[in-house]
Amino acid sequence: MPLGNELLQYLLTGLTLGGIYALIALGFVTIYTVTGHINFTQGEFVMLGALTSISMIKLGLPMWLAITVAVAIVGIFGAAFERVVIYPARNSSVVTIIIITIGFSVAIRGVALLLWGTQSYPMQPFSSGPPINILGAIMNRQSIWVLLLSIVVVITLFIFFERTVMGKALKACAINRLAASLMGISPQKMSLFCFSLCASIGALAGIFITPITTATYDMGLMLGLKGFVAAVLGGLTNTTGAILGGFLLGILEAMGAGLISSGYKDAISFLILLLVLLNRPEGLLGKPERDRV
Amino acid sequence: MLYVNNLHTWHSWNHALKGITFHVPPGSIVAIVGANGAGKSTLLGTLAGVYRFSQGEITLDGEISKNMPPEKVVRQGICLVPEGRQIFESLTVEDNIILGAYHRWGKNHNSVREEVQKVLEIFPALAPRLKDHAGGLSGGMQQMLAIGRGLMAKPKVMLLDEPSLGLAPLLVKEIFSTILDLKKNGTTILLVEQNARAAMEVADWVYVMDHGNIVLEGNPTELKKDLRVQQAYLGRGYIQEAIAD
Repeated sequence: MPLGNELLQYLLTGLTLGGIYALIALGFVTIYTVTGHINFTQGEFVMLGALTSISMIKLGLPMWLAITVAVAIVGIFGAAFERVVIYPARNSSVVTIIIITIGFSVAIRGVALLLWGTQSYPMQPFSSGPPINILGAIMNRQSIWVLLLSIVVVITLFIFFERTVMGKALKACAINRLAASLMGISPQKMSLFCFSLCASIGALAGIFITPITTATYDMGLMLGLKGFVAAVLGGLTNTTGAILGGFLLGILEAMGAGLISSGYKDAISFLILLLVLLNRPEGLLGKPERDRV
Repeated sequence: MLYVNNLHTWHSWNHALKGITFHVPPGSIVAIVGANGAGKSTLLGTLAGVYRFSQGEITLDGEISKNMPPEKVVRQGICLVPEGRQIFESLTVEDNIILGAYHRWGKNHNSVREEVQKVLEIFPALAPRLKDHAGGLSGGMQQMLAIGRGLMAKPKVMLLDEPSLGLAPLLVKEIFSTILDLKKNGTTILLVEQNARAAMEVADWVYVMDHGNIVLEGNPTELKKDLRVQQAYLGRGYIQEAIAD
């Protein structure tokens, strides 16, 4: 394959991966900006979405109904997680909340291992047919679904945050929690909604990528960490940055895996995280924090 | 009518309010003046639900309020316009105003749109800036926006915390003239001010706070004649003016 086609192939692969990372990063950023918490359970929402939808399909539900039910279940799980685990510890330090979410994600993975075992679960692609040839590079149809999902989610979130009062109330909460509560906006309810929303987005990401990667009980760990890297890369408080970070990470990872070695795929992500943290801790689009003297 | 009876608030080990009792009649402006650290902002914060009170009673129109978070207090009819404006800087002016009515948005959002127009009639300077980011407004306009946002909550009592803070004298005059207009429109106002002189110009009744207690009260005309008030809060210039009069 000529180098040009090869690079295009890596770019398309990177965009697919990037779409998933962007969705997970959006979960990190939305929760962080509204509640101030870094939620390392985000990756487990991805796994729960994928495995729950597979179980629903096995129960005999049509695919789209199974997906809807799985997203709803994970959304409710996200809300319950916020109420039972995060809410009682809401006044704790950032580090405490991080430790709690890491601990809970390990617990969720353990329960998933008991429920679904260690095997990989495949899922039918959403549309059948041969892969599509784009200027000599091959893109399978499920990758297009993944890209479509990320575009739809980003547009929906944009409309939600920019055009609805509820979205603006969430933004107000992120800007100034005290002032928001003085206007009748409940930061607790916003936090609950936020966790539920981000769990649902994570579940969708997991479901859409499963026909490409298959689903396992531990798939959430690495996807969650990559989503976190993408969020940090973009600036952690910036949704545009999260999307940009997700796609950039996906493309760099795919390029590195193709041009150097696929064995270095994960190492590349974490190398990027280290470089960002050392050189530009505020991320690509974040604003540097200044301490007052 | 807002009644506050024997209100106590603690900040950790600091007894910030030591049994405050006062009332705010409907349609009036009641001012609370005092030095830094007297407990004025703590009092407003306690009434608005930002701080919990350990003892005492807050009664609004006959209903006793218990310790509640701010988002519930505003539903009861008490709205705090906090010190330092605390507007949502990266949202537009229009969004800031609309969010003032957030707690009743679901019930009647068409009337909320009409009320935005009423706020713009009170603060016409905000009208051409509706689509601008609130953070780009001058200090005076931000204060107008903060008061306008508070009005959108349709409060029974509006709590204004240091509305003149950081504003140029001309703007202070404008803000206080608006406060008088609000009173004429029937809004009940509890005003906390370090600028005691300006507060006494608009208030119907004044309480003086010191170290978490109300130490003096009266109508502004009487209080202006009180030597202790003149020395402590109205400044040397005022005393000289009073002597000259």
